[in-house]
Amino acid sequence: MRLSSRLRQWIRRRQFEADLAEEIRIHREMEHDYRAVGGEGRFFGSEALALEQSREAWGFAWLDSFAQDIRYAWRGIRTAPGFALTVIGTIGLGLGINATLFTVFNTYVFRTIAVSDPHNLYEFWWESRDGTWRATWAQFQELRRENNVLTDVAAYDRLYAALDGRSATGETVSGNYFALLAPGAHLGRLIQPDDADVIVLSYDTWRNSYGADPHILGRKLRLRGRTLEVIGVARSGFTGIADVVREFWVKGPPPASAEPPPSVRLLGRLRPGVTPEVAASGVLVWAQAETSGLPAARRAARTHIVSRATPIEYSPRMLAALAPLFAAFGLVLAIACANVSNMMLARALARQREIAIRVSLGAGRTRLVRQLLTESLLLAFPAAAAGIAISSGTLRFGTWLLFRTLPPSFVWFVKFPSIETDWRVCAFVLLAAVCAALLFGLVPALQTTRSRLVEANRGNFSSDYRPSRLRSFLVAGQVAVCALLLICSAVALRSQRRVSNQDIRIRTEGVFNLLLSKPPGPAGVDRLRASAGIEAVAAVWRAPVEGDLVKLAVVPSGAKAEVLAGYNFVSPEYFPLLRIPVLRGRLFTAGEAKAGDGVVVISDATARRYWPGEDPLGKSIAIPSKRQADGRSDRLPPYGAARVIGVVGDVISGFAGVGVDASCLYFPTFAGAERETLLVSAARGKSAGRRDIQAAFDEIAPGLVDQINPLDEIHEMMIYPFRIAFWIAGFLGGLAILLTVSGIHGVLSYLVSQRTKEIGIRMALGAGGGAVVRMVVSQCMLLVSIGGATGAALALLAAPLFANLVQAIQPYDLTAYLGATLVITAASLGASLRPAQRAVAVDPLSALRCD
Amino acid sequence: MSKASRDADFLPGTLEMLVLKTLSRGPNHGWGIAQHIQQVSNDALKVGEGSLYPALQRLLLNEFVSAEWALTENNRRARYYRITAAGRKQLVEEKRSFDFLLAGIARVMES
Repeated sequence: MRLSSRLRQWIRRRQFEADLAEEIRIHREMEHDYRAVGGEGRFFGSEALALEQSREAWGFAWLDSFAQDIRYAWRGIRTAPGFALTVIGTIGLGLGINATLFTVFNTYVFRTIAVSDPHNLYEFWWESRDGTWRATWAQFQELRRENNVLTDVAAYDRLYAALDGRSATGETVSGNYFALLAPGAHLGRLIQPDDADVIVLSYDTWRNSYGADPHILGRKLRLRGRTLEVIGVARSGFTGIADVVREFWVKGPPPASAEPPPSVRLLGRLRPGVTPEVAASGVLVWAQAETSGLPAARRAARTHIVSRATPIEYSPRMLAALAPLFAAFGLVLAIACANVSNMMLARALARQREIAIRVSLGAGRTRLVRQLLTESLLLAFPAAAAGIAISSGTLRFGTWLLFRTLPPSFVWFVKFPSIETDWRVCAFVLLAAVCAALLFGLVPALQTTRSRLVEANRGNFSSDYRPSRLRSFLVAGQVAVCALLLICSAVALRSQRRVSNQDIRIRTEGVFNLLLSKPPGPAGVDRLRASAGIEAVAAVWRAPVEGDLVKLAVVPSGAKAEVLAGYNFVSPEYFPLLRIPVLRGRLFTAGEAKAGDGVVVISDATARRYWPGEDPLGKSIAIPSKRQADGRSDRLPPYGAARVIGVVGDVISGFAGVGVDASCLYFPTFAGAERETLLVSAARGKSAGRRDIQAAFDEIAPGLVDQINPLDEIHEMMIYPFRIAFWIAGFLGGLAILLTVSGIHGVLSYLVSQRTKEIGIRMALGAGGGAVVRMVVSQCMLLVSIGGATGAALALLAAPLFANLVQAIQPYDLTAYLGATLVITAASLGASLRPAQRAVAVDPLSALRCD
Repeated sequence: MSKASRDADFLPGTLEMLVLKTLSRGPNHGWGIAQHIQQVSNDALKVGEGSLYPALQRLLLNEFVSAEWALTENNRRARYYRITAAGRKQLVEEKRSFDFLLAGIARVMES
């Protein structure tokens, strides 16, 4: 109330002043009249003082001086538009890349999903000693009936399938899924419990794949051989609750089949007053009862409950994982600030005279600092606007680049929720801008106002001014950060090259990984083999190059302790199909695979590791316990020991980032067995091969194929993150070196112009051009070597964070360090060249004459 | 210094209380307020404009009084101050703490 009336009064200030003056004049008149009739007068004070004190009562002084500061700063900026533009550009760039990062972060971590009451939505699952488990459809129905912590539970599971022949990501959902989430419909209605063959499309899919057809309702779409009727389009913005965008929703569970029951993800809303912890223990009690019939290692031991208010739950652990990324982006902003700080210091020197005069006229230091900071803030706000513009441009470019470079078979899979600049991003950028303004403005402001009255009064404004140490410090800091970022990008570049150049030693061209909605059976596989264009068909549990091998604890004969070994189940055709050579012994036969004999084929590295110098054939590998350390291991060989019958060549069948499989045990299975993925090699190459496979399946069982993915693109997709890492690191490194070079150039130019007189004297005394250049360059090189060494030390300090993460990333890579140092030294030399030239061009006579 | 003892603001905040008390009898202009305080106090308290107008501004700022221009009985324009509801509450409050203070002073002086 006080503030608002104060502000109102300040806005109508002219009126206020007039009223007050008028009032006091009338007061005096009345007083005068009163005395005229003989009354006893009162003390007459100074009219100006009365006015001043009345004004002060309203606290106008502060606002007045603030307005003055802004006017002053504006004048300063207007006289140096080039300086202002450089500052806005530099800081805008720094803010822009940070805004970009924050926008993406905001989209996944802060922006709530488009459902009603997102903060009450939780997903949960449980964990037993030997792995992580999700409920089955039957268990889900049970939980719905029998819990007292959740108002309702819905189930969903992702579904990657061909929708009308086009690969799409969707979900099978329980009938109450939409009732629980209530995202709202754009057209028609959403799925209800008694619906059967219906489908709901996402708004984006409706617009992009069906041309926003207003008559879409009632249209029939084909999915996995079923015909589904479109009953609705979800409201725009709702793309499911996962971090991957969903395009359609169909009613689950799928028709009962002989396969193991598919698992589902559970979503629930907590009852009023129930905390997530209470809900977790409530679900645990139920899960323990549910799993009590299972072996001890599989009984539920712990429940996880995760908020689904946002696609990714905000947690300290996630923040810690992202900290290096935020630090790298923040450092670029810091370099930009250092650049501007340096520019301001140089400018402040030119203003030294003005400041000194103001100090001798009685200006307070706080007021001066406030004035200079106002100037910084005034520059920071347009920089924030530039930053937001830069970030939206960067995001658009980044998305474009991503889609241009993704392996074509996976473009459909990569979809983003709409990444927007909302109020959180704006608030973040504004806050960052204010922090940046303080960062780049405070030091110069303090430095400039440290005025010495005596010198100033003597008219001496230029001597005894020592911000050079500060400037050197800023430049060295810049170089250090730049070196750090360059080392990071060099490491990223080298690891990317290492990964993409390595030979994975298996055939990938013309090989496809098929994802089927249900197993085709041995007869189906036989028909596929006989189809035109199909070379060979192999079955595998976990397809190659799709990620780290799943590990299993085994005891090789002769050893005492358990060791972890990668393992897989493959059919005999797997080896010839991928051209993996048999080094010793033989492969298993289809008969052995079908009979479930305890035989195993091992990789060469495994043999050398377990039985160095011995013949591995005939040795046995014991699979001692059913307890597995690896959470992904939900399938074990059905026997307690396996005999080694063959040794095959080493390949990379796991994650490309870790290189050749350190160990791999191939247990037998056969094509047509349940739960296996099919690998197919086609005779006619990639695009024709895919058509051949599709045609073959259209004859055998239409609607069976969910996806046909070329193996080479799967591999490319797996190493794609390395490319992104390199791009980001390279981009940051490039920006850093650009800023640093311009910073060095600015500082050296300034120093040269400041030392013109000195250089003139030196040259007049006979110093050659070479000596002058050496002087300038060595000054620069000293800073660069200090900064570079600091940066390398920082990189070494940060290295343990990334060591042992993935073999391909080697943070102690000497070549990367040397390369980065070389680049920064060369760039700094380049930056110091022009100032050095200018120093040589100093004319001794005119230099001595001036000043 | 003898003048200071006659100034109504000899205790901080007292002047505001006196102004509010004066206005509680009806709207008045600045000079009228000063005149009233002087007369009622038998010339013991003389309020100069140097302290009266800042005090009035403080009261305006806190919205204890409102002000508007009007004509006096002599057809002269003057700014009339009127006490607000918040001002009345404040007056009661200040009167109480002033009484408390006065009683304290009296006890010290009589001991």
